[in-house]
Amino acid sequence: MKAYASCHEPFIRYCSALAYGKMDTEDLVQDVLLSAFQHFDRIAKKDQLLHYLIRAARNRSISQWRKRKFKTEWVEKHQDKLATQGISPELQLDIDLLYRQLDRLPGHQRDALILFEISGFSMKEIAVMQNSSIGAVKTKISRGRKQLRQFMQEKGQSNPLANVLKTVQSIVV
Amino acid sequence: MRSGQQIDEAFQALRSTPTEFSLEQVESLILTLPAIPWWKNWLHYFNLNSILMSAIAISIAVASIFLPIQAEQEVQTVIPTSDSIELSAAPSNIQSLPTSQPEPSQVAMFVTAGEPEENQIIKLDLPQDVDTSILEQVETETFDRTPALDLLQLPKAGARLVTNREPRLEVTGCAPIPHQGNRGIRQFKSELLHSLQEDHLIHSIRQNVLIEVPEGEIRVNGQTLNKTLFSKYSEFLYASIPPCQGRYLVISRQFFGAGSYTKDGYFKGLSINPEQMPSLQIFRASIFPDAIVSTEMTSDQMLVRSAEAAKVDVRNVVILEPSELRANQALPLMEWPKMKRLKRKLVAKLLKDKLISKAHKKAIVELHEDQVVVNGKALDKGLEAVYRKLIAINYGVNSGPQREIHLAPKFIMIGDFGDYGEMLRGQSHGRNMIVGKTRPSGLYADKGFRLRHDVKRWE
Repeated sequence: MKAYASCHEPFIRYCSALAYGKMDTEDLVQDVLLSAFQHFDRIAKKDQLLHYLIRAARNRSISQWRKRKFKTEWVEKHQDKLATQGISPELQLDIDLLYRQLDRLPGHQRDALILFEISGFSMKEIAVMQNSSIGAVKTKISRGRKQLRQFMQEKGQSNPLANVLKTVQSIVV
Repeated sequence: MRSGQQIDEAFQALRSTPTEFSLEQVESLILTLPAIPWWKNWLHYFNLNSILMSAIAISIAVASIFLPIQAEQEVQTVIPTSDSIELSAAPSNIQSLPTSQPEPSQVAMFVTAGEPEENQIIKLDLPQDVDTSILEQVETETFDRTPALDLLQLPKAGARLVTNREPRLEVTGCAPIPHQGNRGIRQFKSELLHSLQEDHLIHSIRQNVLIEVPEGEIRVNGQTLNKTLFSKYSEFLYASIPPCQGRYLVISRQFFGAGSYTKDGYFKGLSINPEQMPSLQIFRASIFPDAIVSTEMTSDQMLVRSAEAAKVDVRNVVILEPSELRANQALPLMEWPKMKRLKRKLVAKLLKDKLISKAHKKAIVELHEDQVVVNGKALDKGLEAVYRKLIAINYGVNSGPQREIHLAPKFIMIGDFGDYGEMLRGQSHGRNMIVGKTRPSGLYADKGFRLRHDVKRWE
């Protein structure tokens, strides 16, 4: 638990971002923690437990949810949680759109963006986790943001009003 | 949300909001995780690869320990017992026998082509009621007379002996057959066949050969050798297979055997490819024409019921019965080159005389006492004299009541032919000729001949 305590916040945020709209965050966290608990002896560098957790969470997300689409029930559940955390409905709408467009990004860009923007890791830490250089991480984040912004603009132009209303309705309900 | 600022605000909100689970919640979650069973704790060190490699290493180690021990045990057992007889062929095995055992030549030899000569053990399981006194008798005799063959040989290695059917040795007083490897036997076989061919005792080295040794003479396929050839082949054979009365050399393309036949029809001796024994039916039939197949024997121990079972190869056939040959000296045993020369000259002569056409080089020359008939057409006296000179004087083929020469592009047949066009005796050279009674010579398939010879009644 001592080793885990320092990893808790970024790990949970990362899992929340990965699981948004696809499954229960608790299930993902539980799976990853169980795996880490069983293989704790095999983790060579105990100080890098966070890296192991992040990698395990990403691998599970790849293997289990690769083809899954966003499901309304999970979206609603996550929106409820955001509401309990004091997020305004307007911001919830933005966050929902953000997650949906994040899911459209390439995997390495999405990971880098989530780790940097949501989990709050530094570029150096992300570079260590992803076995790449800081420059590469910077590039990924920069391109990811650019791509995300482009997706958002496309979404705003082509998104019919009905979809927006549907999202708002789901949040209100 | 259109601008980058709004995206940043969303990220900022996600970053700043409290996490979905608190540390306490995760702690309680971890506490509820099931503990790993003790047997699973170390089991992950073993995977399929390590298990396979370990199993292979252990099996190699065990095999390397036990196999040499087993081989030593097999070599040591040579003395026949009431339950089993073990016979060894390898010289190394024979040399390892104790001094009280028979000499190498007295030990059973059983050499099979394609199998390694070294450490070759033939184990013949006998039932409890087998009479082994014969074996003991044989063993005592070998010390006194040093006979050639104390061999028990079945056509197939490992074949089970039938109860009380163990062959009794009939050959006594023979010089032993020196032990030879497969290569030596094959070389001897090749030299012998070539020598027989050179002496015109056989027409082809592919021919089946039976060499018998009656008292004071040597017969090759029923033909007794004259004094010159007798002395030559006595010396030739003595080096490898010493000839003695009752010993046979049975040679075919697939099989070589030097030994003796028992009254029951068993062949005992040195052999190659005993599994090819069915090809030797013709030999056995000539030796034991009235041999009866016992129902107790397996198919591997096949005996010939009668001479009719023998099948003659339709390529380069010689049908010569010794008694017939002696009675009718006019039918010579011709060499193949000589037959080919006769064919070539006859065809040229027939073409020149316009008795056959270039497109149809087939002819039947009938050599009657009073006339010569070519393709059903009797020749005049002038031509008859020319053909008689060519055939009879130059090549020794005299006339006879059934004497004919069949010519075709692919073969020549010289001999006596029956009413159905089958060759009764004589010899042929080439391919595609049919000598049997049911399917006579292909020449008769010609339409003209069918009419002239009334072929309908053959069908």
